[in-house]
This record gives sequence, C-alpha cells and structure tokens, in this order.
Amino acid sequence: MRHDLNTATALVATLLATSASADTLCASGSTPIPDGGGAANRSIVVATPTSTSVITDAVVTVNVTHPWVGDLRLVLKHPSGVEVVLLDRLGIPSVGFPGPWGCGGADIAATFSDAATIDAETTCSTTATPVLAGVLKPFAPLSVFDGLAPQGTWMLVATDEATIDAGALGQVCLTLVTASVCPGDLDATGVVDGADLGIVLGAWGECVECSADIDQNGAVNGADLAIVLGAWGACR
Amino acid sequence: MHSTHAMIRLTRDLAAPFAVTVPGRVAIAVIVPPGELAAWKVEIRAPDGTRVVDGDATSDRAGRVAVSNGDIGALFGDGLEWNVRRFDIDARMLGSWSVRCVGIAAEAQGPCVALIEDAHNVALAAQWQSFRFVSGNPIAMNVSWRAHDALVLDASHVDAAVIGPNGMALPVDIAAQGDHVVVTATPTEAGRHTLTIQATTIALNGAPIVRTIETLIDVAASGLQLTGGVARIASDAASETLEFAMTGTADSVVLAAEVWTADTTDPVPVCWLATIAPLVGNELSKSAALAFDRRWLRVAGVREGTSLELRHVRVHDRRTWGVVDMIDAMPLGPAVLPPNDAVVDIDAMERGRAGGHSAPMTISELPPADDAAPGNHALLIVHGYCSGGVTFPPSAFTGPVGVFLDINQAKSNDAFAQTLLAYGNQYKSYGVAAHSQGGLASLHLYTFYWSGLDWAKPNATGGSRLIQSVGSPYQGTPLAGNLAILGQIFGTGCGSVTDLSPAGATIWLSTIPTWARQKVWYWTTSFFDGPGFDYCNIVSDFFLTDPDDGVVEKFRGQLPSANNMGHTTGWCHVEGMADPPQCTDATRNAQINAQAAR
Repeated sequence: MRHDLNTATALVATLLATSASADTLCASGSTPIPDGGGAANRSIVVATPTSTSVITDAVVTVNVTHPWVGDLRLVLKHPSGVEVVLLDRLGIPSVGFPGPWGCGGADIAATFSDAATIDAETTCSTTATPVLAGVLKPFAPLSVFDGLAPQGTWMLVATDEATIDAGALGQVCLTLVTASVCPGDLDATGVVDGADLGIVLGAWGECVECSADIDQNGAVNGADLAIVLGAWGACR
Repeated sequence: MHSTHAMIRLTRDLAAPFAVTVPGRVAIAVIVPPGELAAWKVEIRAPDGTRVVDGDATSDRAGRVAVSNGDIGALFGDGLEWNVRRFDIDARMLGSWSVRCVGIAAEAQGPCVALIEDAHNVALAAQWQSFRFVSGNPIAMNVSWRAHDALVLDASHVDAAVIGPNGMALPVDIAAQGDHVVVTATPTEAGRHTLTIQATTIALNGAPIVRTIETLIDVAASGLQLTGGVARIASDAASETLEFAMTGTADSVVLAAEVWTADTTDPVPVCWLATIAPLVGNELSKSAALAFDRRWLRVAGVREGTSLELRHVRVHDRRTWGVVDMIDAMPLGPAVLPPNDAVVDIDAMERGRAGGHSAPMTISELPPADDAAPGNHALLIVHGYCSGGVTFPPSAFTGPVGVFLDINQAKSNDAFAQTLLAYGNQYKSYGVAAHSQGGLASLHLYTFYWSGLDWAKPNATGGSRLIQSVGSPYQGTPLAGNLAILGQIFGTGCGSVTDLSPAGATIWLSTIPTWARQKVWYWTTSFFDGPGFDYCNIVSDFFLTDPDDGVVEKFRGQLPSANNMGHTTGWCHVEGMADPPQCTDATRNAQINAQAAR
C-alpha cells in the first residue's frame, strides 16, 4: 500500500502488526535546502496501535533537486534518535574522480535499500540526470533500525554542506517492513484473544502466505492453534 | 618541417655569405647577447664589395635598406632578452653578398647569430623517419630540397649537429639515399636533444644558397617494452580490463591501442583507447592496463564471438610523451558482447574511453586566486608558455573568473595540465579561455584527468563551450626548435618545450582523441599584411610560414576535429609585436565570455 498525503511536514499512518507486513508512507512537497550548511527536514509520523511490531527492514526513497549532489548529506532519523546516513557528500573523499568537490551531477531520485547491489557512494556520472537513480545501497546500513519500533516521527534531513549551490528536498517515501513480536496477536490489538483464535480457525487447512499460518509451514493447523493458545492474553 | 632561412653562428668578424640571383628582398637579422648591441656593428656587403650597411650608415648604390634598423627586447614573452637588429634590403646587384658582425668595443664578447632569408624559392625540407626516440636507438631524419626545379641535395653539402642533454655533440652520419639525404645519430642518454642541419647549394651564378633547420626532441630512457602478452579481465558485465605485460621501470606510462575485428577481408574498427596507466607489479611481472567498454562492440555492430585484435598498441614515456614501444597487431580473442539491456550512452562511453583517468601526481599547490570564491563555477583564464603574466584582460569576462598564473614557465603539456588541475581544484567546475600553450594544456587536462572541466555546465545564457583558445600551436611551431638552438647560444630564458615542436606536437596529438578535440573552439590570427610591417615579430618571421601571429602559423594552429572559429588579421601573439596582442580582441573576448561553460 502506498500513501501519499501531500504534506510538507508530516503524515500519520498505521502499520499493521502482523507477523510480517510492509507499508510505504510518503511525504511530498518541495522544501528548500539552504546553501552552505542549511538543512531541509521532511518528517514522517508512523503510528501503530500497539508496541508489538518491530522493524525488520527499512527502505527509503528520496527525491532532491540540486545542481551539485556532492554538496549533500542525507540522514534518516528514527523517532528514537537513531540515525542512518544515506549519503555523505557523494564522491568525497576523491580518488581522482570525480574531483575535490565531489560528484557534480544534478538531482536525486533514488531508493536506498540494504538489498541494493550498487553502492550510492560510488555512483557518479558526468552525463546522467538525475545522477542518483534506481535502487542504491546507502552509505550506512539501514539495518541499524532493525528491531526498533516503527512508530513515531521519522525525519529525513538533507543538508547542503558546501557553498555556491542550493536545492530542494522533494518527495520522501519510507517503507517499513515489520514483524510482530507477539506471534499469536494476528489482528495486532496487543492481546491474543478470541478474535485471533477465530482467524486461525477460519483459515484452517492448506494456506500459502496467510497470516494465520503463524509457523509458515504452508498450512493452518494444530501447531498454529497451539501458538495462539500458548500466548493467550496480553502481549508482553 | 621546412626552412627558407639560414641561421648562422658567426665568430667575431667572420662573414656569412648569401646569394642573390634575382633582384628581390633579402631580410637579415643579427642577434647579439643582451647589452652588447652598441658593441657590435653590422656590415653587409654587396658582391662588388660595397658596404651597403656599415653600422648605422647605409649606401644605396647596390641595394636599398628598406625597412628596419632597430632593436627588440623580448622575442617571446619575458623569458628571452636578446638584442636584435634587422635589415630588409631590396637587393638589385646579383651575386654573392655577405653579412658580418664586427666588434667595435671591448664589450663585444658574446656570439653573434645571423638570420638570412633570401628571395630564392628554395626550402630545405626534413622529416623524421620515426617518432620513436629512445636512448640507444638511432634517430634518423630525411632531408631534401623543396624547390620549383628539380634540385637534388648533395650529401657532401650537408652538415649536421646533434647536441645531447650534457651539451656534447653526438657522432652524426650523413648519407645520400635516392633523392634525399639521411641524417642519423644514436642518442646514448635520455633527455633533450637538439638537431641542427645546414645545407648548401650553389646558384647558377655561383653564389651559395644556404638553409638551416633547427629542431629538438626528447629522448626517453630505454627499457620500457611491451612483451606481447595481453590479459582480458572482466570488470563488470559491460566492460573489461586489458592488461598488457611489460618490462621496464616507470611509475606510469601512456598506453594507446585500437580495437578491430580480426577479419582479414573486411576488418571493422571498434574503438580507440588511451590512458595514463600506472605500471604495476614486481620485477618478475609488470603490467599496465587499458579499460575496454564492451558497449563499443554493439555500437560497431560486432557479433558475439567475433575474433578481435588490437592494432598499434603503443607505449609512450610519461615524461617525454614519446613513443617507446609499439606492436602493430595483437590478437585479443573472441568478442564478448555486453548484456542486451546495457545502456549505450555515447557521451559517457567516450568520456570513459580514456580508461579511468589517473589521479594526478603530487605537485605543490599554487596560491589560490582571490577573484572567485572557492567552490564556484568559474571561467579560467589560462596563459601560455613562458608567459610573463595575464594575457586575456580579466575585465573582459563576467561572473566568477579564475586567473591562472604560472609565469615564465616551460612545461610539457602534461606538467602544465597538472599545474592547471591543481589550480582549478579550488573551483567546482570551470570552462577555459586559453591562450597559446594554455589551449594544449587544457585539452590535455580534459583528455587525461578528471577536473572541473568535466563538471562544467552551460552558463545562464546557455553558453556551453568547454575550452576556447586563441593562438594555440596544436600542431606545434618551428619556433620551439629555433629558440632551443638560440638558447644554446645565448642562454635560455624559460627553456624549451618539446611538445611545442612540430614533431612533439605530432606525437602528443596522436594521443588526443576526437571526443576531447570536439570540446575545443579555437581561433588563429596573423599580422595585418599591408604597407609597412609584414610580420608580427622581426625574428620569428624568419622561422615561420606566413600567415602567422609571430609564434603560431595559421596552418599549424589548426586542430582537426575541433571547432575552427576562424582567422583574423591585425592581431599578433603577444604584446611587443607589430600588431596588438590577440587576447585583447574585445569582440572575440565578448563571444568567449558569452559562450563559455562554467
């Protein structure tokens, strides 16, 4: 699911705390990135009704217009303050290419993911615009967020760390894959109760990739029922 | 190269002869050391013994002293301060004339050089047999007369001198070979060598016609050699590295090769590769590498598995830029095409064809300019060889302007480019307005190094020219050799640059690809050919073929595959010449300013 709430400041969404789920949250707009040390923030608020889900993967898509991408530092901040640097002045330090001022290409329309095979920090072209595009591996791994709760206000901070050129932060989309730490709580209410039991019984039998197949063996059966009964009550 | 002049070193009071077989103008210049002009007098005698010129006195009996009887200070920038006196004579008396330097004061200590250009339509032509100048290997030059009638050069009338870097003369062999003469010498050490050839023929009236050629070459040390092996190592799905096995000692080399299909009946050219590559490995095994972008195979329409070969695999010495080894053809094996989804981006592929530009060698940083903020997008004003200061007036340009100053230097194109790179690194990106050798250095920089040129973008009005040059000797100038010889006689100012000689420029240009040349917009100029002066400089006029700007001949100022912006007259190379300096043409500068990428 993709939400685009067209707000420059914040959005609120609910992540379903199933055994494994993913949701994409976007914040659009155009926020100037002031030249030479100024930062543009784009916040994304993630709300969940319980605290039982944890992040298992995070992917972020960032759009920036800027004539000299080597000026930029992009940081994704978790609500708890944990930070991951997505991009750190592309091309700096230089190894001859692309020069002492970093990558001089313009604009970013890229998705940062640990699963990417291309490293963003070594991607620079003198001819391509946007100079960063597609799915790229971030400067630091997004797996730092794994195990953290997803909810709260996330922040994408774009900073221009050199003079002369300025740009703007565009749409930011955050995809969080979460997993429940309370496997019997199939409806993510924070309580394993009759509703969860009903989900298991209702899906009884062979079942591929259904949430009721808690042990993921391809069938909803006695083993799944045992998990629900064993976790009965409030999640801890 | 060819010569219509004679440069003759005279000992005190010895006369140099010249022939007049038809009435016409004879130009004579006499060069003496700095400060000695008043200690010498010039004596020019007609065939009947009349002193047409005797110091400041002139006689009109046999010929009319037509034009100049003056001095010049600097011949070429601020590096040289030779005193010159020039005479232009309408010689009416036929026969053997002479010019003599007569010492009239004790200060007349130094040498005296006479330059003579007579009216005979006879030129001495010379051509290197090979541009492979390596210590221990013979260097050979074919020499012949170029005249309207069939004139055969007599080996017994040829004299030649090759001076090595230690100032010692090398043994020279002069031998007739068909209708020309071959001058051969074998350098025994690396370094700068000068070559002087003097040839004489006798006119029908018995008067001697003398011509000389002065040139210079850089000889590389022996040892760098290709062993004939090449390994192909896949870099990624769309490119591979070609590792050439080598022997010898060097930090880095210049490598170049052509990729062709190996079809003997209809071979297909695929691409041309060149780069500055580090020489890696140990004493047992060394190699240098070229990057080969396989997408060129798709561009050329080559099929998977087609046999490929490399042609003209060359190794150039990094310091002299001279060719030190070459293999005509090497098998490369079957073509491996890139994936079908590999994007064929010609601009990016061409830029990458140099194989990943090498990082510059460590050099001292120049003082930063204070006229544009660091990190800016600037227009760099770049002067040329042996410049005493700014050539383009900075006020002619708007926006951030960086004024490159590395005064009174004589650097190879590579060394010049690295200095320019170090200076330019204070800016994020830049276009260049270059004068003279600055154009060659900028083109070299763009070809072999990553720099702010790679990031230059169109200016606010859309101007997108990367390198704009005026008066750049892309094909060399004979002056480089002439000045090297004069420098040996009188002492050097800035020193000589082999890259600026016709032979050096030929070698250098052979490593400059079309994609880089296309980023150059260039202008040439020459003197206003009207009443009065018909030259820019009273000395360089002897060495250059008209039209010229006093340093660069129009025909050698051309850069094939680049953008020729035309030739204008009434402008000379630098200040102190007959017409205004070419870099002060306000109309051209306005165009450069408007069209420059930054």
